[in-house]
Amino acid sequence: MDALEITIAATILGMALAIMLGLLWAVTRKSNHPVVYWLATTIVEFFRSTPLLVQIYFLFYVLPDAGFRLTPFQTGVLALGLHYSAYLAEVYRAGIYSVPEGQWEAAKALNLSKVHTFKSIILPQALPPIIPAMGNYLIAMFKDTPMLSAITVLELLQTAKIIGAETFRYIEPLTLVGVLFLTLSLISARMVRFLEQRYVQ
Amino acid sequence: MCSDNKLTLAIQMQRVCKSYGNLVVLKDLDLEIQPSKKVALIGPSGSGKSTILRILMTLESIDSGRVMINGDVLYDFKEGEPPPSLVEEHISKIRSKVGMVFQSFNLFPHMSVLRNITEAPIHVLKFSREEAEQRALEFLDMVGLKDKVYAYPAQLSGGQKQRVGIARALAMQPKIMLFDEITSALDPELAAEVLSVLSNLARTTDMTMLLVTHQMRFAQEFSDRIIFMEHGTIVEEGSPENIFQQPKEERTRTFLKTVLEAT
Repeated sequence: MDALEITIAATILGMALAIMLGLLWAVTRKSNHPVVYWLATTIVEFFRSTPLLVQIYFLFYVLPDAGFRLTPFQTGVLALGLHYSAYLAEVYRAGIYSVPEGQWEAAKALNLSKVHTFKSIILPQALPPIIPAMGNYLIAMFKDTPMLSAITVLELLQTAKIIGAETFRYIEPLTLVGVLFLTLSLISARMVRFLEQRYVQ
Repeated sequence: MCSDNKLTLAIQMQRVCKSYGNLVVLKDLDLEIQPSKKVALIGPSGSGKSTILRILMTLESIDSGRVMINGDVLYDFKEGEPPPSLVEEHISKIRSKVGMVFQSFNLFPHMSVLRNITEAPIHVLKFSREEAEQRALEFLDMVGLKDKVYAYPAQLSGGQKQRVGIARALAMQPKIMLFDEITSALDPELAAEVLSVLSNLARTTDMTMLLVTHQMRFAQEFSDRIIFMEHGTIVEEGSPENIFQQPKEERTRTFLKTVLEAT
């Protein structure tokens, strides 16, 4: 049961990180400052163009050398969060572009500051249409958590393998893992659909 | 500056040029508007009328020329020189004197009518919530929508939306109001209710009002002065009587003949 908790915790924390960082990349990519724009674009392209597994290994072996001591679980959450933030940045961008130009202009005509405009006028309109896409990435991230087994996180798959190795029975634990993933994914999908119906008109 | 002119001009544009790529929108445009005047800009589509409003609202910059609002320089560019980086604070100060009502309303759809009107007074003018709401109610009363305080834009007709748009702009206490084809997206009946609000406003306020419109009769009733534009320049200007009864320019005559026949 611990393994299930770890899997869910990694997904939720990873998603929370991805949601925050994704917004940061999306905002900085709208910046007029060339260095800021270039930096954000490079980060997004880098995380989207390299495999998650490589990023997980990289963080696991390189961070300690750089002086950051994280547990395998923390490293895993960081890797998931960074990787998916790059995808969410694009989702945010689509949401922001879907808000008509007239909204920016009206806010400007009312002399609202750029930060206030973004926070109170643009973002509340940009978010509802992208909830389904965000939900899909949440489910995708959930299904990517077994990769954390590569860096010794005792999530579902790793636990199933250990049980298999101890008992020489692989069918039951692996089937259980499959069923658990299926169940949780279906539940999440239903929740995403519920949010979609509620916020997307 | 002109010592015989004691009044500071509300709007002054000198030799303003503006183009989008190869398309020249404004060609050496000169325009002066005295404070509290009601002025209508008329002319065929693409003649640069709306661009003038967008420049004054700081939604667009210019390529060269000078733009002054209430005696403050907004832009002063020489041709060929890159525009100096503009200090946001300075622009914001000038922008606070100008309000605009848009053709497509541009209400904030996720906010109630009340919040549409109070958002900027609270966050920009630093009114207290109570004070801002009190004033919002007065403006809503003025545009005849006191019963729509808690409605959302999607629940309003086009005419009602536009009246909220007017109330929202008024709540920022601008000295100059710009109206950009505010009835073009409306049925005649709904346009009429918006125009009646506008006439009342024009009669009771000393704000400078600049209106871009295709409704000639309204322009005639509303304004102290009519400006006819074509191809990015002012062809002719004068009192409504002069422009509509005895236009001097052939192009003005042709334009008026076409639009008045059409209606």
